[in-house]
Amino acid sequence: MKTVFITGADRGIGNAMCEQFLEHGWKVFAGQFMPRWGFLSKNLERYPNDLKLIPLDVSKDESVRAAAALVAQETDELDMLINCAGIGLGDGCAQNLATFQVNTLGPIRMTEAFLPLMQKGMKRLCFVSSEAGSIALAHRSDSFSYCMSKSSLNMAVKLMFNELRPKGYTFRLYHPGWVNGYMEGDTPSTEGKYQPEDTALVSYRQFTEALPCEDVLVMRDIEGQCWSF
Amino acid sequence: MKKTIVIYGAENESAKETAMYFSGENVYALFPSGKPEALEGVTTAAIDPLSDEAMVLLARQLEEKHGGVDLLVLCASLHGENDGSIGSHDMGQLAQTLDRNVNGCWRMTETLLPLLRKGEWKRIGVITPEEGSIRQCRSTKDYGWLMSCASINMMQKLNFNRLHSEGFMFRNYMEGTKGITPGEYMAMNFCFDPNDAYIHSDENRLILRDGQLREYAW
Repeated sequence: MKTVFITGADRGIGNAMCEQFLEHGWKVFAGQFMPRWGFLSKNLERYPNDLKLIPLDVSKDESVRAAAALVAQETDELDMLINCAGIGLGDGCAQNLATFQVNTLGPIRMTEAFLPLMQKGMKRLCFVSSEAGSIALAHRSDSFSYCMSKSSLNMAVKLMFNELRPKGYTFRLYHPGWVNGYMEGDTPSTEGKYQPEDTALVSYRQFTEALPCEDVLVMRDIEGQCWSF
Repeated sequence: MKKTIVIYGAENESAKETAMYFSGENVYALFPSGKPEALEGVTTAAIDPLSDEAMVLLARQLEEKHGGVDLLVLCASLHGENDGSIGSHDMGQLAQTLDRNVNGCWRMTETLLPLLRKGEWKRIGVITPEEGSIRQCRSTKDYGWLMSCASINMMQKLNFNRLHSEGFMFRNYMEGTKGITPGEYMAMNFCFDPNDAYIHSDENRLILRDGQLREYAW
């Protein structure tokens, strides 16, 4: 049975990804940031043996280390890590830094903590980025903190790719499309083009299938299109 | 009339070179590390961009002396210590590097924007290394610095999107190639009058060029 850890699994895209992987017979470790949201508890009722909830705040070193220790008690082999947790805040120095802590440094923290468990399995590192991080195609004139955090994430993934690809790791950098998710708070958006389930289905395929060429890092979206950095 | 030029991140050698290039003008080279170096013909100073007091004072002094600012040059000049391979990072250090470089550039731009609007050139430049292009990057280290470079490039794009219609111009220079220096590139005038039907294509989009004026992907 293959194993995956998914961050930001409480709701929205991350939760829909949990469903996808569980439906396809994976053992899922789900990073749970806010138990009050309850979606993961429902998943657990359906998949009591294959889903393990792991308390996680990706912005905190100690929380990430504790999560890795909990997973290590269950398995010595993690096939895939999916970094999905993300936030969108307003602009300002404090907001910029808080957004970096989750969207950019969170995936680095997670990768560093879980790499020891990924030496033997599928060795696949997946990152949910965004078109908002594409410098070439950016059309916004605000949302500095979110856009900068995603450009910065793309750079971090490139740095990891440069080091880890020669060691057999494969990478997925995914733009989920405009999804009716929870980026703005506790109420899901209604203006998006896709539902979380739509993008989770596509991401499952992109994350699990092999690419003809794994030696180039590309950001691919829900429609399979590549995005310039 | 002399131009007023502010350079943030003057620890970087290309930023220093740019300050020296403009040394006949009113040039201010700012060092966020807190360790200013003497440069002939240039006013150098330490700056804490995260201090409200320091930023208000800088803006007030520039306005009193010169009325406005013509060119702001931004550069991520601070590297983290022991910022090497994946698996070895001090996340606090990474956050600090991002904070000083990215928030520093962001605050510098926001603080000086009213003065840039009063300046003749209305120009913002960025100096970035080749590794600062995600596409070009071959590095496996220096996460804090290189993530800062990518963020500052994005910041520049968002500023292009919001300020271009006001007549602002943007120059992004990739260091590391002999040819036109960053100072020369920042000072170059292409055809750009928002009311003119003919505009140089480099003024209609944000573009990254090296010393040979070759274009690079982000």
